[in-house]
Amino acid sequence: MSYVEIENVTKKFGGKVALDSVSLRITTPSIVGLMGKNGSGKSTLLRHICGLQLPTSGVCRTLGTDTAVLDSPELSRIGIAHQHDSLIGWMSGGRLISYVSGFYATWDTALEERLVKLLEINRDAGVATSSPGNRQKLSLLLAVCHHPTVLLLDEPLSDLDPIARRDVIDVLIEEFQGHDVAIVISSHLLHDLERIAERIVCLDAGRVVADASLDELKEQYGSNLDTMFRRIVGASA
Amino acid sequence: MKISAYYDLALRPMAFNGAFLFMLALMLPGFMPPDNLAEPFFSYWGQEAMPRAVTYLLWRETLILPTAFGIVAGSMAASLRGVALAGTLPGVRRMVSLGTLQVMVVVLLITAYLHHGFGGHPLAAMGVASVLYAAWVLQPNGIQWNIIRLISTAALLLWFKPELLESAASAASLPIALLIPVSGAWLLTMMRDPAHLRRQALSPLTPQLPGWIRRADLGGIGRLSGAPNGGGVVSWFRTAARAGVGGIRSQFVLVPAWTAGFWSIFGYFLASPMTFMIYPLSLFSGSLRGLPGSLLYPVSRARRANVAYMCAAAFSLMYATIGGVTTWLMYTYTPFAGMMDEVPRLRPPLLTLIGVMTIAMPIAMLASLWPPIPEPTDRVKGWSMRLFLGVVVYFLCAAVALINHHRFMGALSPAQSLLVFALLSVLSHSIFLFILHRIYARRDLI
Repeated sequence: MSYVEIENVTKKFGGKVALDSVSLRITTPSIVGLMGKNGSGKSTLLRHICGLQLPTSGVCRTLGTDTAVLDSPELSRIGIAHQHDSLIGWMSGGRLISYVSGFYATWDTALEERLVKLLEINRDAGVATSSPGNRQKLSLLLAVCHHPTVLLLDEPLSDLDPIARRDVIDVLIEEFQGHDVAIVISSHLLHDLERIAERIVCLDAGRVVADASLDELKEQYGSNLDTMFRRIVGASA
Repeated sequence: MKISAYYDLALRPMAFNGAFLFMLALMLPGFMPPDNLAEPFFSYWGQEAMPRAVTYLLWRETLILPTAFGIVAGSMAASLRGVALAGTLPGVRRMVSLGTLQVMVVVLLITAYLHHGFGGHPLAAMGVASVLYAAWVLQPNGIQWNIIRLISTAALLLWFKPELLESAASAASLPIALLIPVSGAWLLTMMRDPAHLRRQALSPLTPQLPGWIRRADLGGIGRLSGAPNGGGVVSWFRTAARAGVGGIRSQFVLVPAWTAGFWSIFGYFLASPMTFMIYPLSLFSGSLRGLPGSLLYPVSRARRANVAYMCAAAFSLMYATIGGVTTWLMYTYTPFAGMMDEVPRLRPPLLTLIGVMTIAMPIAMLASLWPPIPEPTDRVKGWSMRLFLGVVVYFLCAAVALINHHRFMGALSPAQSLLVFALLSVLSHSIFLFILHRIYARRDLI
């Protein structure tokens, strides 16, 4: 089964090209790290994969279905945590969890409880008045608790403290690695990405400038992702 | 930086509320004199002897106009001055000060125009209006002195005792008029003071709305009553209502009740039948929204379009029903209908236009059998606003047609009229649903 198939996708916002002939295929369960400078198109790519945005040209399929016509069976198997939280601000954390959990027959209450405890999520706190870090934790919980087959995480670690970051990564590895799940995770925290990503896709100005396994990239560009990132982006400039 | 940038801010949310307040200011204050409801306001226009009720009206208008304009202009200025690094924008303080002063000139001219038309005290009224306007502009801009609170409180008290203002104006019109340059200078000095700008820029959350509006936020009303069920359009419609204000009950019972209560109390004190019109208009602020684009609801785009249609149609049903009932009440229990018959002879033109629009639009909605009203906010990019404007144009066309209904509907029997309305309704609903499906099929949801 193909998780994600993107063929020559171009996305334009007015005159600005956000994605430029991007192609990407994820056919095996894996964790794909998405790297790139600010504005390189990472978030746009993730939103295309789940169908929230549609390509100007090209083909975008997720779980074998064109993203423009994704229906409940496919969408129930996709989870996304946005970079900037897009939660319903007036609700409390607990109310939002109960609201979203109702959408999914596969909602894992045990995982929900575990994440609430592990990430110290306050169910009674208002979403709008919570700190960015706590909103990010909530967003992450809402994205993973229905056990998606395609999990899209847009900068999920950027507002978390080091302990929470480590906990999140541990949960991702434990719950999803080795299962029938494709995770695409974008992050600027390259050391954290290095811990979990098996494959790295690097975007620059809306184009894919590198797409290979972590080992291959290390061999080609250097031993760590920092160096690798500088060289890839530098080489494409 | 051009001064046009200041006016561009009119598109900001506060400006929308401001426009609403402006309409409120023009229409509400004793549209019918409080102690003589049987006699329309406009019948006094141009008469030499000004009844006491009209004097009350004039001074209340003198209080409410600068308040409404001041809140709008002050909030617009605050939203610009409050952005990060506002202090580094070239000429920002000068341009904002000049912008607020220009608006003040407009306020004073309108005030003077009204007083002149009714044989009041234009100079004194301008003096009173200038002080009040300046106070309301400065308040959201980090300048909250006791004197400003004093002015606001005095204005509120004078609302109930406008005869005091009339006496003062009769006795000392020129000294009161001297307040105009004093207010202008006060405004200019305070708004250009870099200390106030810095203080405001330090605040990370410059309010877009006045505090009383934010405190009255309806978002907290209602509770989630169980988890939404997946599946049909109806259950997703309930889900959309839960995301909005907590549920169907909140949307269709609590919010309208809250709004009705508010406007009933307001209308009682103002003794103005126009509050009947304001009530359905104000319900726009609590309109039922479709599924927010940001959450990844496991529901197809086509079904989302149906949910959006259902939300709009359900809201319109409620809106048009309330609008229809209030319109009927106005026609039955107020002299408004008689006044509307006099439309061609009414003065001044601006008030006439607003009066016609407010009475005709709900009638148009009722007569069109609830054509759907889309959400007037930008949840799914700019198309939402365009669609909203399209429906407004439709309403206006229908309103114009209905104002002249004697000409073209008089020949039809009631059954034929009903058939015309039914066809109009089916047509508008079909077109609206078709457009929604096209939009949801092609556009980004976030």
